[in-house]
Amino acid sequence: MTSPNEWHTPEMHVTSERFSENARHALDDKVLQGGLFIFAKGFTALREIGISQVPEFGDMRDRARDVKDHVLANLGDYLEQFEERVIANGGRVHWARNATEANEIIARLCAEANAKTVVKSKSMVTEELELNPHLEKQGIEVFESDLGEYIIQLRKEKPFHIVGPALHLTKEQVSDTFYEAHKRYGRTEKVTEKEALVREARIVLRERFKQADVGITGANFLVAETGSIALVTNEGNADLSATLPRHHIAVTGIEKIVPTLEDLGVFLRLLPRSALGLDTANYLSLYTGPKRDSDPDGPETFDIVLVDNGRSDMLGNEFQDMLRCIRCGACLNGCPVFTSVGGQAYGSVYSGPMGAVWTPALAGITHAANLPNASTFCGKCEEVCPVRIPLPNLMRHWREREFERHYTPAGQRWGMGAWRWIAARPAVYRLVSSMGGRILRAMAARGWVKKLPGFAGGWTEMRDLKAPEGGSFLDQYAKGRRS
Amino acid sequence: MGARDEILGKLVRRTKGSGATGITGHLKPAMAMTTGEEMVAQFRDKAAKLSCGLSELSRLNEVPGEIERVLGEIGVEPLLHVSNEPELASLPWEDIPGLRTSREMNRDALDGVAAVSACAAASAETGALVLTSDADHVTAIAFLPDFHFVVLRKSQIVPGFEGIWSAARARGGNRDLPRAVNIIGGPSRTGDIEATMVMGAHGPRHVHILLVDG
Amino acid sequence: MAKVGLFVTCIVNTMRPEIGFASLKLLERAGFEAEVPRDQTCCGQPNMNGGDKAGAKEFACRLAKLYASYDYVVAPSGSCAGTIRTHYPDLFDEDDPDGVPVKELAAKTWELTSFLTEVAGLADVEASFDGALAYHDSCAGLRELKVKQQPRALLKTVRGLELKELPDAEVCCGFGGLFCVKYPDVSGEMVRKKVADIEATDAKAVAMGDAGCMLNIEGALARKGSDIKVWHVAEVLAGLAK
Repeated sequence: MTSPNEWHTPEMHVTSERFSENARHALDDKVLQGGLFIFAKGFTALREIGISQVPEFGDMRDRARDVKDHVLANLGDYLEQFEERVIANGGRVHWARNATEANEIIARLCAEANAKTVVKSKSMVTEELELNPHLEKQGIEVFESDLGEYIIQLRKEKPFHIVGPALHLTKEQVSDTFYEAHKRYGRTEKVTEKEALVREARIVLRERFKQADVGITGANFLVAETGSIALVTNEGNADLSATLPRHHIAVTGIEKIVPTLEDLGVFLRLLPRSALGLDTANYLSLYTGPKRDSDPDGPETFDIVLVDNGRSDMLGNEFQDMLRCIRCGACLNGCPVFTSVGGQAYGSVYSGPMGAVWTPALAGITHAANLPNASTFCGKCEEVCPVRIPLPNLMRHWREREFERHYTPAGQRWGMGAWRWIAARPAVYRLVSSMGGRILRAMAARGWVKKLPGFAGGWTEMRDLKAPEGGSFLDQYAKGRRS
Repeated sequence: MGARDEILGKLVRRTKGSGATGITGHLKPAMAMTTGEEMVAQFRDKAAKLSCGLSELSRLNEVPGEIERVLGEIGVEPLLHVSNEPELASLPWEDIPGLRTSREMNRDALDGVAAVSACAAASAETGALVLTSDADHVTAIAFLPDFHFVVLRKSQIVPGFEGIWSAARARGGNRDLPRAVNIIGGPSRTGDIEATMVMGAHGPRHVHILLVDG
Repeated sequence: MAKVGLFVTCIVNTMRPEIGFASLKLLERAGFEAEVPRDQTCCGQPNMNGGDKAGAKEFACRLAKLYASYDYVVAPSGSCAGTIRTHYPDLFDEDDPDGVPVKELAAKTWELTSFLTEVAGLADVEASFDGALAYHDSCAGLRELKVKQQPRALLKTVRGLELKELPDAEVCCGFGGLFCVKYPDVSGEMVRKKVADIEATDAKAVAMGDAGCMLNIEGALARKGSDIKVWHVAEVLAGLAK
């Protein structure tokens, strides 16, 4: 160990440096734009209808925030309690400081199980760890079983949205993907309708569930008092992954813990409503330990991998509120930037407002600086967050860190310095604003400026600028005008 | 020092062991506080919203005949895998000549068939059914069959999540919880292709509740 | 009589001075003596949102001193009023003595339409406007200061004005300060949607509470060749929107 901080260095690969370029491609993609409409209009409306039926929704959000704050203030204690209960129920708990450690632990558990195939249910943490390529390098075949994850796995893409990973694709694209990928199973008919595509995936994956040696799931929540993991899905794939294979491994972040079952109820009420406006998800399951002696089915081993990977770095500072996140996706669906460019433009498995705060924590601000900056701070994300995370403030804190460390682009940094200097000198401020008005008037043709130079050119790329008509307010006011 | 101790050490340092007081008193929405007939009626509504089928029966003995009728209605082969739970074992399955039954509960036997199980509880808050693992209950019965029939007595309906936890703990005996607690909100579905809801993703395409008086 | 210090904001000062005069007129109609301190400059939002926290604190302290003698500070902008009222206090640690006057400033700062309805209790603006007017809720006012019904209540008192609700009135127009020049494509897409919504209402004018959103929306409408007029809500309420 070369430095006391080295061990926890979070690891996640991102291409967020290319946000602007990726965004441009996304804006030109007609198919994608059609899909984004669903989030912007459909999911937002579903959520509003869903929560309108629960008058206590606001109080539930306060309660959820308070429970999470309490947990975070005592995180170590609750994790130890959880670990103790898991062990008492015959399971094992593994701790991973970063992605490398987590992947090594999971690969070792798979090797102990002599695993040839692994079936997985959707887990954003394993996406963050890039677990699949790691296991594949060990010669293990990995099958994602959430339909959306399965599709993007076959297409070798990153998830488009934390809840709907493949919602940027059309059924025609899915049809082509399945046709190519399923030939190996002797399936040569090309199916095109949505129902048939779902059936096709079901048939192929059902065999994988039955054959897999290991099932890997995430965990939406961990319950400290019982040592249980909670899984929330609509398809039932997490339950098949946790039930059929001889070994079950659950991989999750250390922040997912809640103290009691009663506390869990608060979150189970919030999560499906925030994600899709539903009273409940189809399958809410709690799994506690491996198969017991009298149980007729269930896995022989039950391993939990608790992943830090940068989370503890967010504790006890201005980013702690982010650790309340329950991955519902409401902030993505509400975000006008996300619904314009989609998840893949963010170049990170976590996109939208929550991704703009998580990604710099996991990949480093130097790689992800674009994300907390690519926000208008419109505040919609905070408005819809079920655990009341002040997302715009947290993005602002990343901008502060950037500024402190001199990563802010030189031009902007210089501009802010100059502005600070000018604003402290009212006479100079008045002069600059009068001159600015005059310059714009000179540049204008019939009152409108069509092209601005330099940095301001971004404005006229997309719109005109109406030049001011008279002198500045302060100049006119000084001359005695009052109305 | 291993990963566990380093992580826990760091958490303690970062949170300064603040030991804030726990959250007391629990917040229940009104929809999780109904009682009596109102609660049963709410359960019916919510279960229907989740696309569950529902038959109302006055006696447990009517279950086999009703299942045969429903299978006939949807045009499925009248072969039923019956879970080993005691309340089902004693039912007059043999009295229904058109219905063949099997007690096979392994994964290949259950794959894609019609099966019936009992349950631990059901929630009026959401319309969901609660199934728990034990010696007589195979967890996979809720996931592998195409048609899942669930026998529910009215007295098993609870107002909401709080009641689910009590029922699940009661099933766990002297342990905290049974290994598996599955809260099932109707047939499996997915919206992953073009955000269109399609039924029968990985689990059953049909969930049918046999709601019995008493 | 209570004294109101009007904070005209940088964009109003340089780009749309008429909004400042409309605000003075409305404050006077509501029975307040309002004035603009000669040395007012910027609230510092560009620095605050650009990560320059030390700079933002400097702006806050300066403004607190400048407006110390007023009973109320009013801005024709949800964005600048929001910066002062909701964000300034967060810039200072609990025990920082510099934070004391800043918190006093925050507590007495109001967005114009909130001030007119909630503090002044203005019941009728006694203005007129000819025809249909769409209204866009600027984000900072809406979410940081809960400005939603206040402008509508006042607009309803304008003779001849027919208020048209936009389908996504609460969705951001894509201005976002520096955002619109740093990410022009994304911002352009956002304002494209906003403009399409406005055009679909068949209103010949649209009003809003922030001059930043105005520049963005009117610029995008002009680029499309639309003749839909864009007004600040203060101009409509003061009867200056012709």
